[in-house]
Amino acid sequence: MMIPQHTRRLAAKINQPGGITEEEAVEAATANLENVRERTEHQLDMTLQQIRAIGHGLQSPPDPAAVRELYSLSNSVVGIAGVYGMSGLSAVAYSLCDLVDRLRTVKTWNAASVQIHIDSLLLMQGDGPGREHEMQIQQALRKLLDRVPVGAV
Amino acid sequence: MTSPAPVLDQRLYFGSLSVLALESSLLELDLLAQVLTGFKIRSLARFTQAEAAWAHLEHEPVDLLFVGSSTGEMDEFEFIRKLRRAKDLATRTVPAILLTGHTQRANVLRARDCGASFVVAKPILPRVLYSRIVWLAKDRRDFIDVESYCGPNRRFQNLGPPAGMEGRRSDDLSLSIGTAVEDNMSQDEIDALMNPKSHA
Repeated sequence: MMIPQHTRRLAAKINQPGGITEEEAVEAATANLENVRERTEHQLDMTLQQIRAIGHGLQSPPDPAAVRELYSLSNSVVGIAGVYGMSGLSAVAYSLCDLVDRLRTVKTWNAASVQIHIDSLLLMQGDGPGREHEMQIQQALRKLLDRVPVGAV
Repeated sequence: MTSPAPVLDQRLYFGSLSVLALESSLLELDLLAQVLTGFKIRSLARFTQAEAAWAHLEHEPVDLLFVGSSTGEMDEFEFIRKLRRAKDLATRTVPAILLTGHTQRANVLRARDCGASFVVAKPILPRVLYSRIVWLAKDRRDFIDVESYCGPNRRFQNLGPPAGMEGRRSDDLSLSIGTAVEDNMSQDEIDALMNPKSHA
């Protein structure tokens, strides 16, 4: 079996002289992320406010566009918060993604469950409620989520 | 006989790569760019809309793709599926890393079945991203080009054919997922699903 062309091309390009080690690459990338931390945290707060506004506006049955936006913003929070070690915020955002996805799939809506998730997200903002409370919130959300079936693929 | 994977140097040069990043969230796109510029990638085309990214692909050579969420008319899965089927496009076989925050198994399978080379669970951590690029530079999977699927060979492990298709082997398994509650997938589990077990 031959090595595919796209692999040969990528390997040839990154094997050129003048490169950096993995440690150097990771260190430089981490430094770049730190440089934008403050700005990112500010924008993350704005994203959470957007999520709150969408949550307030959702009726039952909800506007599909608003639900898509809610999913998309929650998905963003998972990625952004996790980069900066905000694991509690990231976990609650993940749970909200899961909930919205399941509700969409089974074509139903549960405004209370969604609102509880959004309230929990806002609680996690900034320094959050502390590790112990974060764990309790995550456990409660998990129980809530377990009551919504995963749809068939 | 299987060719050995390319041998890579300890010091890797990303400066000559042409990279395209598609992500509907500007903030996430910026974070991805911070990581990639840390790797000394110089040519990075950033897009928040799939249609604009597609127009770029039609005219510019690209060595590596990062695809996050796409909220336009073409979602991230459709974008990669379209790329893999674009027979006139020189870049159709280019390594494509799909970045996803919501790693529910169904999403990972969708990513695999649309032709993504790899799925990386968000958050985007520099070391994880670096290792996945290196892995793709050693990727020995064939590019499969058949009516039902275009993309890296996904026939690995005993996961069988895609949902809705009859298996051709006696040990093919169904990929249909029922209503049972399931855990979301960790990066290790995603890797196990995406990585070929053998190339024989």
